[in-house]
Amino acid sequence: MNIFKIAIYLCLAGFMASTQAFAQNTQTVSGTVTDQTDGSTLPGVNILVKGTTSGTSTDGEGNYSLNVSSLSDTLVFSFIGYQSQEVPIQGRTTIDVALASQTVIGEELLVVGYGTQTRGELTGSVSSVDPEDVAEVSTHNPLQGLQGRVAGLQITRDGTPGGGTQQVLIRGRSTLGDNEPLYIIDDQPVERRRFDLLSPNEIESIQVLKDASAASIYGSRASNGVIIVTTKKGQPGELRLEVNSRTTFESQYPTVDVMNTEQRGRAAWRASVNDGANPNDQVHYDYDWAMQDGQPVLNSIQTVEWLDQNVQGGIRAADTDWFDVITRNGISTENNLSLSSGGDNYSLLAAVGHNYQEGVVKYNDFERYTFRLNSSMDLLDGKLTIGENMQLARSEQTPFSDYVFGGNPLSTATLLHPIIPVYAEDGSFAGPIGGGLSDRLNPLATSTFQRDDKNEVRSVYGNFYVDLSITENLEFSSNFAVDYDEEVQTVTLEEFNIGFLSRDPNRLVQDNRTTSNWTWYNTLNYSFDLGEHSTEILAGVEATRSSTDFLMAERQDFLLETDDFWQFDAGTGPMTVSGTATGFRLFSYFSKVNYDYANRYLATATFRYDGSSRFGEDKRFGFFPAFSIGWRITNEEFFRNSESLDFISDLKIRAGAGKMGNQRIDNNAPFAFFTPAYGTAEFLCCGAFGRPTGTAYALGGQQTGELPSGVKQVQRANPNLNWEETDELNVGVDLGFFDQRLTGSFDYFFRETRDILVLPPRLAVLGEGSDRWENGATMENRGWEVGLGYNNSSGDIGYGLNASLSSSSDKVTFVPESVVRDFPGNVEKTIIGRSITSNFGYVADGIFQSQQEVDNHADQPGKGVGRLRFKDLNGDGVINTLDQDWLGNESPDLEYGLQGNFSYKQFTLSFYLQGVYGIDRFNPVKSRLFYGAGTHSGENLLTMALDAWTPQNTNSDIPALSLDDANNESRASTFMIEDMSYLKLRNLRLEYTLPVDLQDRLGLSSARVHVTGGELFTISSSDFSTGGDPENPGAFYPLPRTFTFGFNVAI
Amino acid sequence: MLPIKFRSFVKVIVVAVCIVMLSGCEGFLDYKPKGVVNEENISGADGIERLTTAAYASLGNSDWLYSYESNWLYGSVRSDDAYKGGGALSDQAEMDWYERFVFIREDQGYQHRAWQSLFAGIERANLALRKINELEVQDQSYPLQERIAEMRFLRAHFYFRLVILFKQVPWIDETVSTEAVQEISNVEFTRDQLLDKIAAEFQFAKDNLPDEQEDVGRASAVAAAAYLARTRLYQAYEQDENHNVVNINTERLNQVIAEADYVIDSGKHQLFDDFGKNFITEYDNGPESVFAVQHSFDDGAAQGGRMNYEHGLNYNMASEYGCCWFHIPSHNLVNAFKTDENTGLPLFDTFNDEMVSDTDPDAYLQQTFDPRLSHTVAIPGHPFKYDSDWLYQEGWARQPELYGHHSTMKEVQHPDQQGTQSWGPFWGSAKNVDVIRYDDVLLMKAEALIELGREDEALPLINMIRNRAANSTDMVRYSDGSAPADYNIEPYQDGDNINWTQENAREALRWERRLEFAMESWRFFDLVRWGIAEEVLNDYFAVEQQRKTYLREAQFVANKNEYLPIPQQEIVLSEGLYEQNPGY
Repeated sequence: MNIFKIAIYLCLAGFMASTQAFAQNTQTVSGTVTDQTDGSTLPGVNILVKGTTSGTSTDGEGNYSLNVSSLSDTLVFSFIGYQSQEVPIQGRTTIDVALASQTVIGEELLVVGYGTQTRGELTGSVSSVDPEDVAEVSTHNPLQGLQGRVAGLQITRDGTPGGGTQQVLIRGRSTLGDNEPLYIIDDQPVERRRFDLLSPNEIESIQVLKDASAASIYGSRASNGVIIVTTKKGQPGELRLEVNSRTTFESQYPTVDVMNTEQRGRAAWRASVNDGANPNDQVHYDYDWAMQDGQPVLNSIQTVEWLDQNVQGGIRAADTDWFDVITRNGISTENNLSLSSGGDNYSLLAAVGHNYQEGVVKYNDFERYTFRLNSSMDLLDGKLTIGENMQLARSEQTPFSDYVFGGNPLSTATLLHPIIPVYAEDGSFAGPIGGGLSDRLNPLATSTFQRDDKNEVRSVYGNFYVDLSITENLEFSSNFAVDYDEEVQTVTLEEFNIGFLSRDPNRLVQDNRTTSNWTWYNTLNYSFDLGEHSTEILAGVEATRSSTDFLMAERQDFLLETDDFWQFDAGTGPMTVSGTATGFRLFSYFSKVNYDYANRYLATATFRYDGSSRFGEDKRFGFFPAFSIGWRITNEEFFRNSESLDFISDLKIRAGAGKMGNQRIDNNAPFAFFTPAYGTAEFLCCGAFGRPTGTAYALGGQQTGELPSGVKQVQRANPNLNWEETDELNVGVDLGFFDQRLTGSFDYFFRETRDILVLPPRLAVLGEGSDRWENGATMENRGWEVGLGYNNSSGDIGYGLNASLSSSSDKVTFVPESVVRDFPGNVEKTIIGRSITSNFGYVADGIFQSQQEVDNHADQPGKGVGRLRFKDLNGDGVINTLDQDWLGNESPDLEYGLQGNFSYKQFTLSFYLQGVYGIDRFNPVKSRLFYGAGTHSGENLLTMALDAWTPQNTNSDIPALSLDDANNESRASTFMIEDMSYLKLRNLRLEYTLPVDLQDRLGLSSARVHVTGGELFTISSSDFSTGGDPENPGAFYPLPRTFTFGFNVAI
Repeated sequence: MLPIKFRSFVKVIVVAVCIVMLSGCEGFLDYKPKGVVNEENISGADGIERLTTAAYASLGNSDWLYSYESNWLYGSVRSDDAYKGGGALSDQAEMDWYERFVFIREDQGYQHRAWQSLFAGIERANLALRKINELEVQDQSYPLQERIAEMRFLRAHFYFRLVILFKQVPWIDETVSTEAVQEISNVEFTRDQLLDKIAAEFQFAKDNLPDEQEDVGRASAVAAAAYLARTRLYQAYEQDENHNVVNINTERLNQVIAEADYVIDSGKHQLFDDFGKNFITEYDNGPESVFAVQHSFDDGAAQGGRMNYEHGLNYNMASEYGCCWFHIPSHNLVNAFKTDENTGLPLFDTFNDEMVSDTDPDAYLQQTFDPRLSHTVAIPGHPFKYDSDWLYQEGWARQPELYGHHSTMKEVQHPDQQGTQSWGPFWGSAKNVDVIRYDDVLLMKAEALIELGREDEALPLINMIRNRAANSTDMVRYSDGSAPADYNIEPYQDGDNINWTQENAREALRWERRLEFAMESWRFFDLVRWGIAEEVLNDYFAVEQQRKTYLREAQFVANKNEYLPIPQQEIVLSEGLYEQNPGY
């Protein structure tokens, strides 16, 4: 069959043709069953037609013959001591099967750098994840589905539709800069956000390379580990149509508990009387209160009727639950359809997918379309394979814009004073007006304005490859991969007058980022066996080119604010355009040698010689070797012959050492250059406040129009800039017991990263362009990982429990004097010897209960009865910066995951728990216990603040409310740091598989339905008292509880 | 058929691979940054013009967190003129620490940013000067000498700002190499020596620049003379190493008079007829402005243009603005505008005995005031920013329970004024920031004369200022022509309403400076120059904390708080070469 016919067949006759293929006939299938290892025939093997009781067994010569009702059935071959095997008949009448001995462990094929290896041959630390498990999780993002599945892979996420992956770390942190792993999809290095455009259903395999011996073949970019994903290919057999569909309902999310209007008024009263101020100076409340027995007593609170009677028809005082106003129940749908086929010399898979996610925050949506075509073709009697894997995708997201007042709707929803109504009397959005209110916009107005905004991503990525067997032992491969995308961010800035906040004129801003990357590698692979010596040598060369262009346009004054009118030509006001481009190149030589003696002694060596355009001309190339060895003890004669050790089915010891590089720095790092900066500041652009550095100036005193502009120095050169290098040592053991029902692995690693690339601060007298990248710091990182699984089945019952457990801790061992101030610490205590994620601050030592306690305490500006006492750590009688200390760190002591599944007949129940333990984080939300901190006197507070210390409530551990924060209690201290350990039930799923006879009657080859609950519960530390989600303290997008219904059908 | 085709295909690939493996790489890795120029590209007159323009641009690279154009944070919030304001005490907490002098720390970000920004300006000027010195053939048509003088003027301006903020700073000029820069300590020169160096720069500028520049934004000889007068005036009050004023140098005072006279005699400047014109964008670069930081709008630069965002926090909560109500006039300052209803002179001794209401508009008709009050302080019920129909309201105050109901007005521009617009919640305008005005030149000369015992010659100068103030009541009225306050201001008349002794003249001069430049950030530096910062500020706190409880711990520490600490970050980066100021 040729490929063009296939294509036509697919396009025109897909459904029809495929159903026609299942005419019902009784057919005979016959064949021979052999032992996979030595090829000897196996008598007495049981053969069953799957889902039926009809079957037979092999004769003395290992031959069998069986009548089946359909050539689309599946045969199940089982034999004691061998692994069972399911073989779809797929129209064949002769099926020969080779069964693998159950004691031959580790035949699982893993995709490692530039090739594959079986689990048994592996000497590095590699985890693989079943893509089915990933697809089961209610997230639509396959990367997030990995959370907790791999020992040593730490992922945190939130509920942002279409994104929300906050952090991905493999084995913790090893560098001061970017700790992001390298992601490879179908041989193309991609950015993390590419996973937002990948359906879990498209994935064939996922591998996580953790240590140097596994990862260093990727050289320069592998120092933070590698995640390799390959997409599904067409499988041999008739045309197969598969449909996956699911619908998810999202509701209930963790929230922080903030006050209502009355509570807010009481807090203001309490703060005022505590400070001896007149509570009736409060703008919004009238208090009836009196002093009784020397104590203030509040009789009643009267709220003003109007915030302002004159604007927008009047803005009436209200009692608004802002979080409730901006959230909703969401629905997400995901539908995927794939057609696949394969024969002796081709395979083909075409898939289309659609995913729509409605965020739980109003008007925040995500939609993606994907189209995939993976195909390959064998030629020259199978000696030449050419193929491609290609995905086209488009996504559109309603963003949380950076261009709004006072933050995104989620943060303003918890900040905005509840007295502000949602709408003014004239029906327009209300907002803060008058005194006593903070300058934050109505969050519903913000979400409504953002409705027309969109982030659109259009991408094409994938690879083309050629594999050629030049001789029996020599194979050549060439792989050209591309990753192209356009990211267009459109922001409409509507004109408004809401309370005292306004915007005029309106504006349209469009940001266009185009990234174009390609990677081309060519490898030669030579393998030969000499007796029991088996050797495989790979050599290759790879070139990578990455370029990114930015273009931003902005225009003011649009007559209409409708979706259709927001076009640049329709605007009448001034416009500005800005744009630039950047890029980098990599060029590498690499080689890998695998050696295996008698399947017992294994050794691997990899070498990579990498060149990067990001380093000075003489320092471009770095050399990254790695060596590892393995000993499969269970394959030793003495082991095989010992019956007492029979219960051990697999035992392998691994050890490896290697060096990896890091070049994640600014593309322009080694160069000195000047640039004009006509525009003024970077300050309001991206939420960050940078130092304005414009070069244009109205020399002639002109008030408007074009200005003379100059140039400024941006950066100084460092021709000696060199690779950052990580040395890693890894030892591990793989274990299997009871015919692999119980399996486990343990790894210990130690890493040292030297010459860490830093951009140290420079003396100000050198001027603004004095920045220079340098090789600075040194860090250590060590840890361990344990994976354990118990999987068994008997009869109708199957069950499994799989656990992962890991720990890592990093330590900064050297930073230059000039950089050390960039990290937490003070003049006496530095980050040296501490984790990079260390918290630093004061030790809160309870609350002053009496004036005597206050007087006896060290000189602490702002101290007083009811205020927090900070420890005088150095005993010098003054509380100052020298009284700070190390207060735990933000890296968890332990991360764990536990997955379980139980199946009975057609039902499978699975659950999935994930957690972190021993993580201390500064919680910004907690500052909202202080009335006078930040701008909280015009904002809302945590309800907990009502329980603050008063002379009558001296047991509280929350300091007394105050109009000011004179004691600076929102400073970093033990009071503000919380234990954010958690355990979450991420997933609970019940799946039902249709019985095979029913499937057959319906003409299906597979049919499953499932119901899945996501994020069902969270157990958090009792020390996490502020509420919300301990995974994401602060105003992150809430991770909702989800209920998913879905089905999978294949024809 | 096929096999042959594929064999040749394979050959092509193998050849391609070999080529890539053997050569390709060297050129492949040659990547150059985009959209940038090398130092070699900046040459000749065109290059010099770009570098000098960039140095000028540094004058205006400030925003609300940098505050080095007007110094409102360091000069006004740190003085008895103003409270921090804003949403709460800890809204921009570091600003609050400056106001109360309680928590000021060596590693605060604000003072570090000021230090960095000012040295960035110095380096831009130095870079331009280095490039000029490298020129081999000089283009005769290009005013090279003038550009050198302008760069030295700018450099001196940045240094002057550094010296009044930090006192001890390293002196770097264009002759110092990058390596040597890192060997220069901040204590290499004393304050007096640094001011001498600054004076020399202004002298050079004065000698090499025309009195009038075609581009009004450029430094002129007159501007250099005015700045030289200011430098000499600060230098005249000699400080010991603990910031105590130990001597007033008469030679310096005479230099002040000479330079002020150069400005006055040039005839280039005069006072506006109405004081208020100094505070409105459309009168920018008028006759009273001697040197100003230029701002513009809709000029193609991002964020609405090269606007003045330094006062972006200082607009009030009127629905036309909406943010952020920083920099609030103190009760003490409001009281200072009271005048004696009989003499029309300030109430030197009793002004602060009683607080004028900050909510009752009519309270200002019950006693008499200097008209400059209505140009400086926004008062509920009074016209705001020269708009007779637009009355400032109590509700425009953001945190009345902490900071009362007033707002600042001078630096704020009317929303209808061209070039006034918001960026996010923050407001910007095209209003220039005056560095030196003519009224300042007159008062500097008066001050020098008084300290020289020639107070009689100072009298007419001070009265020029007062007479102009007296005539500045037209712009601040209600639409019916009535005035929101009862204005009563008279010039000083020796033997009539005052006994014009040196001591009284000194008090009158200092009072005049306070009212003329109220909220304009000279107050703190004046107090330090006169050596009375501790006395004045602690007296102020003692009374003001009765009115504003949050000031209860405020305390100015003499021999310390006169200057900001040298940024700790810089001391570390200098590897201990820089020395911290006393007290920190």
